[in-house]
Amino acid sequence: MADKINQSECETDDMEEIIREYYDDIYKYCYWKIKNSTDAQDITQETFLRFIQNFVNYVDMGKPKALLYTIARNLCINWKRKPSYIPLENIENDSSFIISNELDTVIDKMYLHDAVSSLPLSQQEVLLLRYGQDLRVGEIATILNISRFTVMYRLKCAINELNKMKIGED
Amino acid sequence: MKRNIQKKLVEMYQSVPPMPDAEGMTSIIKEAKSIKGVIPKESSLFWFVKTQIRFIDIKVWIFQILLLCMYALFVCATLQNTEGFLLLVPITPIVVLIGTSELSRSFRYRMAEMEIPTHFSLRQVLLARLIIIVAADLFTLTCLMIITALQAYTAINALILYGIVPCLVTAYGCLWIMNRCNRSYSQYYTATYSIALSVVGGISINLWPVWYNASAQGIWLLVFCLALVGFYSEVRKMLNNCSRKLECFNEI
Amino acid sequence: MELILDRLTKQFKNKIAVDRFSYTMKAGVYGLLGANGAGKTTLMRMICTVLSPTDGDILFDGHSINVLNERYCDILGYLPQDFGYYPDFSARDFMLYMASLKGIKNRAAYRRTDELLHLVGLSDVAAQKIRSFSGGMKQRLGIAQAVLNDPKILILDEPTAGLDPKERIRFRNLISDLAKDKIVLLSTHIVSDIECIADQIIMMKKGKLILSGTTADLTEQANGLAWNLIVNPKQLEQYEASYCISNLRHTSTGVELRIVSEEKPTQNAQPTTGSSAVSTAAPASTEEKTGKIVIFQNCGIVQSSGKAGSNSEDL
Repeated sequence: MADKINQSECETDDMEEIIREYYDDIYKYCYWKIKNSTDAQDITQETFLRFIQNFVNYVDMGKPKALLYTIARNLCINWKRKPSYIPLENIENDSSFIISNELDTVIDKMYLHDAVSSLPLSQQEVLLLRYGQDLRVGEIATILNISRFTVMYRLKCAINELNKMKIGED
Repeated sequence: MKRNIQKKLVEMYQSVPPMPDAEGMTSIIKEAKSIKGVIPKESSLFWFVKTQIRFIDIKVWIFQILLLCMYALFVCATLQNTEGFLLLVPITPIVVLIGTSELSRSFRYRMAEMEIPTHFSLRQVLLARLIIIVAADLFTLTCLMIITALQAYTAINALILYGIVPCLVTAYGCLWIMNRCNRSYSQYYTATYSIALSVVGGISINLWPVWYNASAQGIWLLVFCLALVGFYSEVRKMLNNCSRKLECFNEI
Repeated sequence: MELILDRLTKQFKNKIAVDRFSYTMKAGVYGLLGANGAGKTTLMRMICTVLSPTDGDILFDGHSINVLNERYCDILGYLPQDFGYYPDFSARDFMLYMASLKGIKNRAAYRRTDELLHLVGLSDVAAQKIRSFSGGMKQRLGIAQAVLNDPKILILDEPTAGLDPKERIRFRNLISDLAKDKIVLLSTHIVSDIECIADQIIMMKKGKLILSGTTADLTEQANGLAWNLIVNPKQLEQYEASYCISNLRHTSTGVELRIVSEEKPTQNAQPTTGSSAVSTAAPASTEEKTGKIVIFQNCGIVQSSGKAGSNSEDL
């Protein structure tokens, strides 16, 4: 009985914790999908709004992570379908993006970025989730609704492609 | 080399411009706190009737089962065949009586005032209880008829008629009483009425066997129709009386 | 969020219980004061759709409650003055039953029930039958069910009647906690309850609204109307006949009277100052009842310019 009471008292705290923990990650994810910081934050807000509105229906909040990413991903997909969406491919337009003044590093980054962008979208997705969001293969599989094998296969292909483009060499 | 790629990928993905709205997270947390109060609700009558089943007094179920068992034992022990089906007639009013007290519960225990200002309100409560009780009674009735049919040989339509008509007449009478009498005493009146009907039914088997001739079935059918119409109108009356505007609080 | 009572009238056969009652309520705690038979319960029943008005209307945020129907009941919580319970129910059963009536889904109902039983201090007796509860416990259960659906409007009819002082204080605190951002209307005979938690006081007499305002407003109106006086016990009867005595105490020097009067009753009467004119600080119930009487006598004085005659039938 005491457990039940504590559980209900902690629900808001749980939610707050979840929001604090994943807010930045979701933003980063949305940014890499949308390539626009304002829109990315809008989608982040929307993701969490939907999450908390449905919170009362989920008794076992074991894995909010997967759910959050799924919501965010769907929202990004819908966002891109909008006619007003214009993909910003040029990251140098975000001047604050350039953290280091080192020209080499900047060129390197741009090169890597272009290289990744040239890969098929399915591979970009798994790269982002694996290396950008540090998710496990199983989690990626849940979010994308594909098998673990497919995830690993796509990762492998992507890395091989990048290797061919001589990214790893300095 | 591949490890190098991985490292660079991680680095690349980390470089993200800062969020335009620094307060974004705090505003979501605030929203979360306010939304916490949202309670998921359900509005369908079906859901409501389902939930009400567990709040029906357990004595109702116990008595119905007891009645079934006793009837089964009695029928198996005493009847060999012949007109045993006529035992249905005195027993069905008792079946109905068991359930009717459920309908007046809200008034007898002074819960009605608290039940009215709710989403489903007293009206739906009564309707739900009525549906459950009618379903239970029909089930019990069917079981009684099956038990009887197993022991006695008779035409199915006669069996159904002799089972349902006393049931319906009792139900109509009980509702009629409950709609017109002081709620605290209506329980006693309905009990008296049902038992009287049961006794009359029992006696009629011996005193007036002409009632149970095949030729009389037309009259039974007529009584069935009248009782059905009466029952329906009393149900409507009960539900309308107990809609949100409960004027009966004059009594208090 | 606004609840407007517009010329609400309720007539029973030949008696008018509520007479053209008009008032507007916004978020806050409203105390409804009135003697027995003043029409408080009838008014509250009308607000809660238990009774329909003979005339007049109730509007919530501009919409008539007859039009809103279930949506209005969704934001309403009601604790009647005298409520029963199904004898086979435990506290938890009772809460779950009321939750089902309010349309709250199962998981949320369990969660809410546990939360609220804990809030009112009944979680250790949740499985016990209600028939074993004391009056105070039953009242607490009543208020728990009233807030199940997190209502915006909370109507409590004499919630502290029959409670001992300690429970009354606990109740007051509970209501204060629950009252945030809500319209709370509570009726009572006990003035000290109202003093502590009500933002506005509404006074009813014979079905009419006779006075309303904050505690400060009303206390101010009572200024200069209450007098203290010590008299010989032998003269007591005489004073009781001529003046409205709101309080009476036997001391070693005589009988200390508190008289309510527009004019100074005798030469040596001392004016009672400020809130003590309407307060009932002492825990004894007679003091509280007389406190009530003081207020009503005040009302009589304020409303009519006649003499302050004490006639309890007027109440």
